[in-house]
Amino acid sequence: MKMFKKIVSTFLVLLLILSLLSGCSSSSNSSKSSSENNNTSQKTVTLRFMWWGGDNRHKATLDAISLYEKEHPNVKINAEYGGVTDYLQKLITQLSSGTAPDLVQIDVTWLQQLFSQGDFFADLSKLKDIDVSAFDQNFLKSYCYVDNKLIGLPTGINNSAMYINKDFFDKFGIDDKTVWTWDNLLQTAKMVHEKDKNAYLLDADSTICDYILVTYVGQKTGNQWVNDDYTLGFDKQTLTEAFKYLNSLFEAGAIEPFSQSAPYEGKPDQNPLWLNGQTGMLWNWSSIYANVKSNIKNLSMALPPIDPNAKQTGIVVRPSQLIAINKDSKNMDEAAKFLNWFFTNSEAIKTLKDVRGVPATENARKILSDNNLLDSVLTDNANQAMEKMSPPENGISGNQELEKINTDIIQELAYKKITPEQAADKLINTYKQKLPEIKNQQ
Amino acid sequence: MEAKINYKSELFRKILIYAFLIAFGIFMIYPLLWVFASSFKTNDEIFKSLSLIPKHIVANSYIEGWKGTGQYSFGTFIFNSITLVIPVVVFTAISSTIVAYGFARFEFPLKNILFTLMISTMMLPGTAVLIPRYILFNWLGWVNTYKPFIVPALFGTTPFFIFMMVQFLRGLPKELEESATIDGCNSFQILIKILMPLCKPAIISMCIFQFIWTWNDFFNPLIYINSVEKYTVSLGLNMTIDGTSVVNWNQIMAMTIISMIPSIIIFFSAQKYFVEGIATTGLKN
Repeated sequence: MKMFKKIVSTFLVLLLILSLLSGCSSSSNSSKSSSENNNTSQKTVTLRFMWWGGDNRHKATLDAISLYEKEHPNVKINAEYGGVTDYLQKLITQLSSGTAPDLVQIDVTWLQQLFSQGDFFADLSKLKDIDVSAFDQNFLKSYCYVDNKLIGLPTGINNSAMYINKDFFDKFGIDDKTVWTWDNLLQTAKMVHEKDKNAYLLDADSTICDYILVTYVGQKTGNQWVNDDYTLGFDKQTLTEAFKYLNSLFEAGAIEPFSQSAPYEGKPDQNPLWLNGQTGMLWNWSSIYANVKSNIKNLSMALPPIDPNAKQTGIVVRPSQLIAINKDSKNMDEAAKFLNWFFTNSEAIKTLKDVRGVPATENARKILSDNNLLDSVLTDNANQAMEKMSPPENGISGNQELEKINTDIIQELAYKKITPEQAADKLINTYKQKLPEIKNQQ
Repeated sequence: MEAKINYKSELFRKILIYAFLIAFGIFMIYPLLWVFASSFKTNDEIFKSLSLIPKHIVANSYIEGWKGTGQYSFGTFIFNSITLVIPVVVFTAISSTIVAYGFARFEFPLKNILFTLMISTMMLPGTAVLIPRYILFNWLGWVNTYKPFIVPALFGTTPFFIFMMVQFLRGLPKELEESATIDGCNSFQILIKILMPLCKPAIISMCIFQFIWTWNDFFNPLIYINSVEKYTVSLGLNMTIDGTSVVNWNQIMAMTIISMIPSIIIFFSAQKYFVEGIATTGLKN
């Protein structure tokens, strides 16, 4: 027992010493936070701004921040930037424990998930320092409002697009200015694969096949994929037709067999066939332009196929990201001033260029194109897309679980496990089970 | 004649084994070699070919990667990682040894229940305690410091190491301690003077494990560290990876190589003890 007491006391002494040591090492932090407090009393404001991105975006944003700090010596902006990996997880942790930065970059596709956790963001339309008139109001209404509150401002435009490898198109004598319909897409794909057995027109994994399926159906029906009341936006006949079309693409050799492209499932832009110019077209978001351009030097862009009799184009134009203000921010006014400057000041626009996509304000686009700071291929594509844009997709149509059902069935079709008719049956039956489940969760 | 055949088949067997081992060894080390080779390749080539020899050698990837985004160089991140990892490793080694000594050599009330509890936390997935831990550390004001890593290390919070040490200590003969007691050692002196030297292999393997795990940890630093100036190596490596921008993979690969060096040095310099430590824990005499 005596021994036990000794052990305990020694352990406690050790702990004390060690915690003293660790206390010393962290003293620099506490002194820092106290100096921050002092600063606030002297009207110096520190804002925290968190975003994700790559090298160019980091550098441009840091430059913009130091520009703003020069103009406003009383404001200090702490940049908290990193890669996209687990960014959302970190953001949710911070938001739910009240440690989130004043300004955060978010993605529109996260809004549903973020709002299921709580109400975290300030209503920007209520802040007097922010001038929202610079933005296209319809665009804001479609994507940036949740429950009648303006959650964030769009940093840029992101649209569905077809990336075209011009070298490939020249080799097969295809005009890269072709306006694509479902018919000429299939015809061209046949021609390509007949000329060269190792070439495929489309670089597609199951997700891109899902774009094809949903867009094809949407153009026929003019409806949402799933209606707001959780009923199907299509009938069996249209869906069967769409699966048949998809199947004809597989059979015509328009798409590399899934058994070969399987390692690149989810990252078709890294498929060696695409990188080496053996596939010619990639259906993807315009936001990855810089990345695609770095691999395919001779790059052109077009819009995804549109049926001549389409009831809607199915072309999605959405914000590349939003920047939101934390509702609990202690310096809401200063954050609002910075955000307004970020989007409207011409120096800021020139510094930030298109690191977050083609800017969403007309003014910014004009300033950039006057100064030759915009890539014409990307801008032309964005303009075309905006002309033809269809109404925004509702939340349920973009549901991840439904997309997983689609891609699973598409895989089965691609591996010839089921016929297009069976695929349509299977999809409808699975949806009839899944939709009430999702509805109950809401 | 018979001996000759035996000799031949023995040789054949050896050749087969060596061929297999070499092939397997190459298979295992290929990704590492690929990372090294990729640090000298252009972005284009990294994804297009599997070859290890670059066609156009990029010489500046190490310099450019070290500079990072310009605000903080990679040196800052390495320094940060070191200031985070060293205390964690040292404190884990001390606290785990002491706790294990308690479990292995002393009888106290509820010992079995406490031991079971300690072991059961090993089964707890890290993500399950993530949010409560974050809230606790946030309440203590430790977010954006290294305290969420260092302070728990003081309290033997890695049950795996305690378990490993308990097993190792149980394998040591009690007679040594008895004779030390006769010579007038108290229990703490026994730990320091008798058991610690004997435990050296186990303690060293514990240190290596903890070093590599903490050094490579990505998710915890991501959650707890906000300021870029306090980023660790793993956060620094991830800093520019984004699907929508041009990623200079050769620079990331180059910095990956740099960030592997400490782990590799530590492992090889302590390899002898490491293997011994793993092999002998759990053996009883």
